[in-house]
Amino acid sequence: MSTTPWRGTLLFAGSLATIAVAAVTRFAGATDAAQTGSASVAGGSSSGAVVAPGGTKAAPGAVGKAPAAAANGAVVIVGSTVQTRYGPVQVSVTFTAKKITAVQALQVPSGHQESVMINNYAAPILAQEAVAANSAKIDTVSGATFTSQAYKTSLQSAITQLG
Amino acid sequence: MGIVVEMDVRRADTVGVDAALDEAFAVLRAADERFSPFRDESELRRYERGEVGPDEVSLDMREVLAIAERARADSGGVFDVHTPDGRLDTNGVVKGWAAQRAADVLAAAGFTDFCVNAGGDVVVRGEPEPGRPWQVAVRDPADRSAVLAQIALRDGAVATSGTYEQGAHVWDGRTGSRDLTLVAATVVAGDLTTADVLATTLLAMGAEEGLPWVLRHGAATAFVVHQDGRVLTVTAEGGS
Amino acid sequence: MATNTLQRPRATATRQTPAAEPPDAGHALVRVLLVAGVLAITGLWWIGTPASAGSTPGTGLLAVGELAGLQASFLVLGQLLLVARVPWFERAVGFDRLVSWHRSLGTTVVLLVVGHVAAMIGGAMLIDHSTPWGEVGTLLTTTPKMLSAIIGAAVFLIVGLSSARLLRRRLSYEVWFVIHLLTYGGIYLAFGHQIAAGVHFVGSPLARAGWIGLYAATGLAVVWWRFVKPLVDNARAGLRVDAVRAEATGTTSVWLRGRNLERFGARGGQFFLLRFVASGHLVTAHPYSMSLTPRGDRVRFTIGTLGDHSRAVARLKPGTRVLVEGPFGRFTSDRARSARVLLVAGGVGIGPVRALAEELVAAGRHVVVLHRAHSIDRLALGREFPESSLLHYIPLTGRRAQLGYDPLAPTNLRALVPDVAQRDVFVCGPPAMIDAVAQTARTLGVPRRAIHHEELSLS
Repeated sequence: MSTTPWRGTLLFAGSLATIAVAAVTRFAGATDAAQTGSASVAGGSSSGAVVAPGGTKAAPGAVGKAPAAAANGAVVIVGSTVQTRYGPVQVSVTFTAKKITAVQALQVPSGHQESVMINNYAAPILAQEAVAANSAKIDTVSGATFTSQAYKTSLQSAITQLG
Repeated sequence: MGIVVEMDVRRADTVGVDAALDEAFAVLRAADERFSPFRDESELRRYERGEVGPDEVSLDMREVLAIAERARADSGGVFDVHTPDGRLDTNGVVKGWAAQRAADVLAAAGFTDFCVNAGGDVVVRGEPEPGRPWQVAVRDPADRSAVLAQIALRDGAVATSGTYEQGAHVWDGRTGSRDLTLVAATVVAGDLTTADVLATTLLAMGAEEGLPWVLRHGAATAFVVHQDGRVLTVTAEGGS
Repeated sequence: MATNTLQRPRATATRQTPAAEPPDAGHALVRVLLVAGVLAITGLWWIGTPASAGSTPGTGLLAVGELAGLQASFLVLGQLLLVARVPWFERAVGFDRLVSWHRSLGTTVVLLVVGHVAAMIGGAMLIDHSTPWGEVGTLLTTTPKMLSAIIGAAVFLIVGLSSARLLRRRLSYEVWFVIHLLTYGGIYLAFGHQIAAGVHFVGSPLARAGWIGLYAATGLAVVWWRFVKPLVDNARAGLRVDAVRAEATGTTSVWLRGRNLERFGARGGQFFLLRFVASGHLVTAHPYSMSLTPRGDRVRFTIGTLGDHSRAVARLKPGTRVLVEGPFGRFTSDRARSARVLLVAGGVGIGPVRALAEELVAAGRHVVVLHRAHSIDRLALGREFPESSLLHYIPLTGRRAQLGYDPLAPTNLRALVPDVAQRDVFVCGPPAMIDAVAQTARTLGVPRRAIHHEELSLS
């Protein structure tokens, strides 16, 4: 056939070039998160064991300090110790938003003293920043169930790899 | 199932931890074999097909079905392990239940500071490092690498139910509809079984009805992400 | 009766027919569509891949692997469509070029599939700190539809290898074709894991719906134009062999009779794929050019009796059923923009040239036919070019070695056809002859877009 003999290879080279350009430009902003001491291991269908540094057990129930507000703009902190039917739960939630445009506290008409706050958040900060900021190092991530395929590119996986 | 489970145990000696972790993972694997809707020979499927009668089921199956039935009654039918297509699907409760059992194994072995994360449902005890609580991030439904909220927690559980990974796998038991107004619901409670059931129910119920409801049924804090991007949260008394 | 003396062409009319539509708009559009599609799929990948995926080598490799997979599974649809016998593609690009593009794309698709598999396993290995074999095991047990995906990838590799120049030469057309058919199976096997486990589709119902739609549409197009329509057309036409006639040494004509043949819309210069329903013929479809376009209920194909199959055609009995697909080819009279045309035929190329000449003369253009053959007894159809004010037939016989010169060399060609630079030149014959004549025509000042030729190849 009287066509460019290496056209097939040229086309492949072209597609490789597209992939390379896409990858380089997409990953341009990615940086390694700061590493800290603890180690953890993922076990999927195989089991994994973990050994943390140190040999003594710390006494449980150490005094909990209220977490510092994140360094990036307005945050909303909810709750300290709450009673559930299973006992006290120490919890506080920080909404990591660059900008909160409106916060409203509503009375929920049910007789309980719940406070419902409506937040319009703009863009949540990237996990990288949260981890690097060190004021609130993430230990684990809760999210909707992901398959192990999705897990590999998830934040949880990155934390495990880098943490 | 393909769900990734991570266990993070702090300040532990080597020998004890290996055995305890093996046992904890064994609990999870046993639960997968028993309750998987994808394995033809699981007890769940056999029970569904009638090969195993209600009196012949295992203790574990009995327990999970009882939890599911109580949740169904409490939620007015919203939470239901019977799918609109007539199948049996316990995934809204089993993951949390199994992970809580695994955590109980670790606790029984004497460990007081650990974190178990089963495919996004988390139960923690103690502290990762002396003086600071576990930091559980909740991912943003819209961006896999972004964090919506961070929960500082000791001795509690966080469960998130959402449609952004597996699509419409949660339904409203009353109407049979998989068309939900929320894309994600997160519940913090004392144990993971409760948190998992509450999160699933909250997602199916919607914000208006669900948020006050979860508080009345054991949630310490809960928040949801609406389809239009709004985030709504409630907290039980003791909040600031 | 033709002689082999040189004759001078007569004076020509000076009418100019309006220029035909540029044929390259179609080419360009198809190419643009393919590129646009690849860019769109890269955009889909972009949206669904966070920048943080590049923060570790494992996740980066996985992300790149996903993009390679996306591109491969899109381009394979393009490949299918190119050879699905879609009429729009035929008119825009032409059968021979479609096959050529299909072949070129094939290299890319197969290599991208291989790269995708390697990157996915490699990336997962880095993340899980496992061995390749262990990682494959993990993937098989944790990712839905992975086993069929791996088999599908293997099929692609086999098909790709069998079509590579090295191996293709050693395989008979029939064996190669059967292996090639496996591609449909490979595509089907690989599709499941794309929507069940592909991260860009699992999380986005919109993307999933779009992807399924794309595949479904391509599948429907293939089924309709490649399988259903030809069957329907054949049932309607009911073609049978009417007569087989020897024309000259090494050339035979096959007349076919059928119903409503004008429905095929066949034009001079085009070819059909013919499959004779007789033992030894049913397995292969051969491309044969018409030497007479359908008139009434008959159509004629003139073929060279060189290969085994062609020789066997000469022995076909009248009444044999024939299955046809077509018409194909852009070697047609509407490509000519000038009022004057030169048709150069080598060997069995005289068939399509005969059909073209008739159409061109009927349209009022002046036609010169150069018929090149090894000897006088091989000048098939020579009697069918009656001399007129619009048609001039010049036979050129004799092997170059014996003649001592090449009748189609530039000086000789210019002497035969002095106004060649103002003519559209159509060449049909052996590939070497086509190349030589095209080169000569360029040398003599014929613009590239006025030189038309077509090669026939199914693989």
